[in-house]
Amino acid sequence: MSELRWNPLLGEWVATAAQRQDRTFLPPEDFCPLCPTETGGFPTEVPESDYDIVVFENRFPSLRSNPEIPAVEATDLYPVRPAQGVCEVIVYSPNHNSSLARESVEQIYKLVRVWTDRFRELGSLDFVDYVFIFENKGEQIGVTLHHPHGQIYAYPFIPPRIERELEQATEHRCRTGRCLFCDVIVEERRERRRIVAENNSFIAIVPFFSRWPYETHIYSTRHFQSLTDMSSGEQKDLAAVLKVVLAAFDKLFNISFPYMMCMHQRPVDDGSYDHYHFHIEFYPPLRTANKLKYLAGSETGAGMFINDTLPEEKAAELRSHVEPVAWVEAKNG
Amino acid sequence: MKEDSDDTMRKRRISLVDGRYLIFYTFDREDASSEANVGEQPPAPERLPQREENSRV
Repeated sequence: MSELRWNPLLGEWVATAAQRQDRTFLPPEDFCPLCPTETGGFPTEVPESDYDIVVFENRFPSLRSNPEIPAVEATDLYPVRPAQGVCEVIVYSPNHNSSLARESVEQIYKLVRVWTDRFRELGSLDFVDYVFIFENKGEQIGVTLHHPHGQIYAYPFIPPRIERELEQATEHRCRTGRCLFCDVIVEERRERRRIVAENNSFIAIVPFFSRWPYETHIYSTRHFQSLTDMSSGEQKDLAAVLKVVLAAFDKLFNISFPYMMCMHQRPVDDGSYDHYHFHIEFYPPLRTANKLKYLAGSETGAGMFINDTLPEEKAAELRSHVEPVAWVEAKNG
Repeated sequence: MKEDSDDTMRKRRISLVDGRYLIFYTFDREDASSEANVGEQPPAPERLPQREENSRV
């Protein structure tokens, strides 16, 4: 059963999705459900022997387009609503042992275009107010499948983190007349020490206010709100800056670096969000090669993060691993 | 069902046995030359001063 239960203490929705307890958990490589289905072999989620990028509805969704009737009754204090929405899985590559960092920049560019298409399509559904594109990578984050993939949740409301960013952006716009995120870019360019990489369309930084040791944000340098506002040149630049940042992550400790990747875009309800600004936030859980940053009492119980590192130093570490991106197909014509 | 999303990307949508949809995305080859020139690094900043606050436990 699945439903949305209102938390009156925080003013936010919680999804109960007990069926997800039974989802596939770290299967052996021979039984990976995201690999292509080989002739005569184990039938995976993808019923063909090869593919480029595939998207499918999650088999264990917390939100459904045709949700069940809630199993509990709502009260004045505890509103309940059907868990309506969409949960998609997006498989980046047929190669089980790859990762987004190891994929070519051409493949990442394809992924950017698929993300754009999913944002457009899911954003057009009348019951969807927010399309959230994200990736959980690494067992440290709790992934249950190693095959390179991300997820998309199409929510029937604007989630709380985005609401709070929108409120801050609105307050800043009212007070200064400017975009909050554009001002962050100006400040980071003035300081320069927290910049990891930059190209014609995007800038990657370990922000002044990082909560995680290697937290990295990618901001579009032009003011726009979503994937669908991008030119093809900007899509290519996004692919390139992602490749640079992800490759630098992996080189830090010579491991496949775990992270949460969260794309922040405008809501898709009918509101006006000109003051918002497209960006991607990475939250890596490692603080050293073998030590995790835990979300403990202060972070979880009070909401105040304690970062045991200096963003300026972590940016320098990442910057030392930045290498130019090679577009193979461009070279080969 | 087939839908075109942009000039060089193709979508093919199928229904799985349990009714969920799955979409195959395929791409025509295109000239990948672009304005993209990522990899440019900012000038190396000066060494950060050591701060006592950084030794917090």
